[in-house]
Amino acid sequence: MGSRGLDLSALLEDCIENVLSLTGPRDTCRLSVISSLFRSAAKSDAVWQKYLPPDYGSIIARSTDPSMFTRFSSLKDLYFSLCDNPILIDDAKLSFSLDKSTGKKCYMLCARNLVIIWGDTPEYWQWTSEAECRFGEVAELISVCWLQIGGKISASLLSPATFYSAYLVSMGLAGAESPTRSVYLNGPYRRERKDGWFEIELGEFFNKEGEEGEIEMSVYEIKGGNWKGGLIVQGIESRPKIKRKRVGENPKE
Amino acid sequence: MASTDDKVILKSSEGECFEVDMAVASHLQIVKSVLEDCEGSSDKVVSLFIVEAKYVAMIIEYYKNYVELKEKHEEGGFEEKLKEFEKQFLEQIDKKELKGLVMAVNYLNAPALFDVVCTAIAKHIENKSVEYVREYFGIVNDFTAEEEAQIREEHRWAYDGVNDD
Repeated sequence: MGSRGLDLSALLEDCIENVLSLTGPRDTCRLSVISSLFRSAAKSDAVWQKYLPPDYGSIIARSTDPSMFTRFSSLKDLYFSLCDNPILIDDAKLSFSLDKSTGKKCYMLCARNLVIIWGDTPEYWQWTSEAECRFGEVAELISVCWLQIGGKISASLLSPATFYSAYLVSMGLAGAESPTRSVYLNGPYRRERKDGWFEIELGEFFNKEGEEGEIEMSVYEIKGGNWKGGLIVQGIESRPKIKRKRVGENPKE
Repeated sequence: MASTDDKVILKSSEGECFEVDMAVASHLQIVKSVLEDCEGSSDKVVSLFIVEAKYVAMIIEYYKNYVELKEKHEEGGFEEKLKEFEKQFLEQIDKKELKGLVMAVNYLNAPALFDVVCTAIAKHIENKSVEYVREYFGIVNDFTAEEEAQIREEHRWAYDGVNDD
């Protein structure tokens, strides 16, 4: 055996690929500017395979467009598409996307998949469509006294060993009768999203490794009684609470 | 214990020789395949052309402990003890030496130690600036200013809140 023909740069690229795959999507993208060798390692499927959830194939197979991944020439492109363009799964009742900096799973339950008190009574709630909505239908609040919306998601769908927050994604104002008693839904907790909708954090939870059962997320009034309307509900989203991952922490699924 | 038949000599790039138990050396896939290729030959010297003596010594130390701990904790607790040892092992290695070590380990094809060293390097460079990591690896930037600007633009989201060093 001789050392001739030994390709040192291939050896180095292999090391860089492995090291990058242990840092995370954010570090990998940032460090791709170091040199062409880093850039090539940072694009490799071996790296992005580690950032995609292990069951991404079966999730895509459950989507309304199961052949979508054939449109991507690399796993990196697929990864970023899943971050920026949520896909609809399980008969479009649920949307799935990835959190860009961690690769953890995010889901949104569509309004039809939620339990909305009085939701089937057209005087109180109407089902319409909204151009900017990822689902076919949204729930529009005409007028109710008692507002209560809830949903459940199975813990096994979510990434394990991860802190999540649940958000109500909505638009419009649930205008209370008296401006001095405006409801929580209009409060300072409401934030505008990139997609033009608004969200309110409902709470957070830690999804333990091997957790079974369901996570229940809901919003209801503590002080009811006022008539309110104008709220348009898209769904309830669960996504990881932003905490920077450190190497070696948060074991991947 | 082991007879001389169970020993192999590993030769560093400088020509320094290390006598090692086969049980230890067999964790290096490259040594294993070289010995298999020349089975029957009495010559049990394996040249590790590109690997400097200091790295050969580190790799032997790691696998010596690995083999001993595995024997001692056959009943369980091996992984835990190995983790403890790995921590000590990494503490005595200079950050700059990790790069040389990872190349050596990759060349020798030793998966367990490869993971350990890659993780240590990943920990060291995470959240560090491009300039720092470039210097750390001793890598020359081969992009033009325009190319670099374009790549940075592609991944603008990844540059917020990075450490200065």
